[in-house]
Amino acid sequence: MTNVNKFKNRVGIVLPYAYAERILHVDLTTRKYTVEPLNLVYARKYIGGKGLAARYLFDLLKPGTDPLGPENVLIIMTGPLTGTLAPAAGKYCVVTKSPLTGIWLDSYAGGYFAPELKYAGFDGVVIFGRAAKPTYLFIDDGEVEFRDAEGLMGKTTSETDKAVKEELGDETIKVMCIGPAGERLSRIAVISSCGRHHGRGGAGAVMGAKNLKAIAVRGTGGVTVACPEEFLRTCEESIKKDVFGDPNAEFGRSGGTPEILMWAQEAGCLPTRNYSNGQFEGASKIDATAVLELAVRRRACFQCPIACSRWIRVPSGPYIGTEVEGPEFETLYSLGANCGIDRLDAIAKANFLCDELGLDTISVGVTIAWVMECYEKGILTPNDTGGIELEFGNHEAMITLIEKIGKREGIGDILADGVALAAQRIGSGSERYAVHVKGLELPGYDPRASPAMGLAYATADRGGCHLRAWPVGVEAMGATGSFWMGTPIEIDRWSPKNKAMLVIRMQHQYAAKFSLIICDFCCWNNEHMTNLLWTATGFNEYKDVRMFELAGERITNLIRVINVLEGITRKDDTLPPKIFEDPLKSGPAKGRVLKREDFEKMITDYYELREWDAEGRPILKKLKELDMEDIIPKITWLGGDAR
Amino acid sequence: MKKVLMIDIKKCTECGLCELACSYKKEGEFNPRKAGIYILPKNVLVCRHCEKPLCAEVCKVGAIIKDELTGAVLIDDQKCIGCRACVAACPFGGIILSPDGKVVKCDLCRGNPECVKYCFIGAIKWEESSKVLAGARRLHR
Repeated sequence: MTNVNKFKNRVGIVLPYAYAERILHVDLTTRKYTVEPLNLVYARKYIGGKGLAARYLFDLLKPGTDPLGPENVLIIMTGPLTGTLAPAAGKYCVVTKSPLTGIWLDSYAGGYFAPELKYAGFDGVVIFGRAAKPTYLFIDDGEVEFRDAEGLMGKTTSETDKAVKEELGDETIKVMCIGPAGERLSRIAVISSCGRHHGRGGAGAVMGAKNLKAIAVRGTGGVTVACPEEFLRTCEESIKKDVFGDPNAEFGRSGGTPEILMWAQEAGCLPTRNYSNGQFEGASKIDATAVLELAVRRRACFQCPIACSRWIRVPSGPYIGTEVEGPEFETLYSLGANCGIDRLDAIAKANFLCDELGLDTISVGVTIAWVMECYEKGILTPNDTGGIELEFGNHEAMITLIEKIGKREGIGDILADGVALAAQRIGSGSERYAVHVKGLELPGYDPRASPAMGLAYATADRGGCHLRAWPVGVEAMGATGSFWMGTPIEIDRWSPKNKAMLVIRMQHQYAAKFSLIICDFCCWNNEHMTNLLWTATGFNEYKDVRMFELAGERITNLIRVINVLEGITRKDDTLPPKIFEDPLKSGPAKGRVLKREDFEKMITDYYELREWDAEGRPILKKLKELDMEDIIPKITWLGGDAR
Repeated sequence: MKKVLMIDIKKCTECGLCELACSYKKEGEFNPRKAGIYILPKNVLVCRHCEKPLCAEVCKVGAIIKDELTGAVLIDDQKCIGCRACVAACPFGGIILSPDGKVVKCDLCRGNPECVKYCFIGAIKWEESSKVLAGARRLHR
């Protein structure tokens, strides 16, 4: 059947194009694996990466599954552009049910693992079950080996990477693994791969719960594309226009994400001291200039001409010799400004510890900032913290706390599952200061200074996330050009008007983009992306850019369906109380909160524009319009008219 | 003036675009292990096109020749018997064994190296040898 489809879909050519056309299914419980053909109907409709994994997850995951139980499914997915010359397309995603939020989770990492998996002959890996004892997988060109990981337990991420390569005797092998935090089922644990991290949502704990310490891969195959000449030309054009010709992509090359820190500071949306203010007086000490001063080298993900990351080395002081890739903007915000810490050396050390222990820097930073506020407000006392003085700005305390979180020692055990659960455990009104949406700690753009960002957080599929729509750029930071992701929309910074339209457009683009997968740091042009897609795959319908945008909408709706089936309703699409109640103290948004009525208006607009019902559920008409009839039988709320 | 391929490993970001461009031009597929250039952390394997190529010395059938025009060390596919003696002889790992057992090596793309086109950071340069000399002098002053 698959072959017939292939002949039909692709004009006269039999070789597999762009996709490896195989998905590896691994059952850890029985230590068996099967190789399944890629469902090409899914691939055409959902592209790859985020979308394709969502479609598979919809089939494989039963709503209500315990995220840390053996029934949870962990999907690793590459995209059709992975491993080709398409710029900044060397990323891959892990998709699962998040132990932090209890809903959909997709999390991305760059590095070198994704192309290697594709070269090994797989578009993706689906992992079921739970191993009886610590295990790691070795995927070697289509062969899979279940290997004993007893000796790897307790090792940090970089130690694990090194040990696996040594054991397998090949330094060109690529490894994804968890650190001690993932082993201890910390719900803010990351999966690390080649120094990059699937940061958000606790995918590391899912691996830990499956007793899966690492996955190693070696691939010697290649990737071919459907229309070689057009594809090469499109790649060249995209590199020229989207990477080097777009002023908005410039920050990646000049200073990397730390450049954003000063934009946020000037816009007054840099969250400071647990979201108490939108400007940090120490910002200039931890900005891009400060980071670049300590930079020793640059590094790129595979197939990326931007090379946004910097390695820095701390040259003096108590943290002398600390070497770390980063810190990125979100880390500078969460472990810096948000904890009131203006020392780059301390942030570097904290970043290093998080990377090694396998913790998400955003979640850790926001959780520690919350502890600091609770401490200053007297909700927590030195008795609770094991004698640590947890005022804002105390970098030594922050470092100690990170170590404790990674090892689940003392108060670290309470904090290791993120701020929402920690607040629930501590109680005493501390919930009021916990900054998260649906359990996912907020990143570094304050919605009081950027209302559309509030809507983006509230409606992001995986909880409080800045990478499902990034309206703050055009709304508050004066960004223009490609950051509009289409023709500019008439907006006023403080008014809720038209914000829903902006956020929806961005969500569709990101959903389609993360299915290709192209990195969020370049290529904000749908036409360029869809050209890359059809020339690589030969899926001719994507010659029409509307089909690409429609795919984005389809993916967004599918994930919303998954989330609604997990119990998400309108009341979950909200923001932490601080955003509505505590005015900012300085900057352009001084004295402002996000007014509840403004927020409600944006949400109502958003549902209406999406043609969802008042509870935020996709309706039958919409799903049919998006060619999603196949999922309708599993949807409970559609009632009689659906069948 | 003769042009040479110069690589500044300190600049390399390990993005691998050179590998992809090379394998695509030579083999029609994106596959770093079939490229004439291979990136390792802080190291790059590529033919140096030596003036006195050790690979040519060990080649029993005379399949490796030095092209006087471009300075490229080339393998004659017609003559090559696939003994892989050259792979072992190269002190730089510049001759690469592809997964299907074939010997792969940089041929400077007949004087227009594809890898250089895709090295946006400027770590791989295709320069006239006089410029390289000037650069080296500056570096060691």
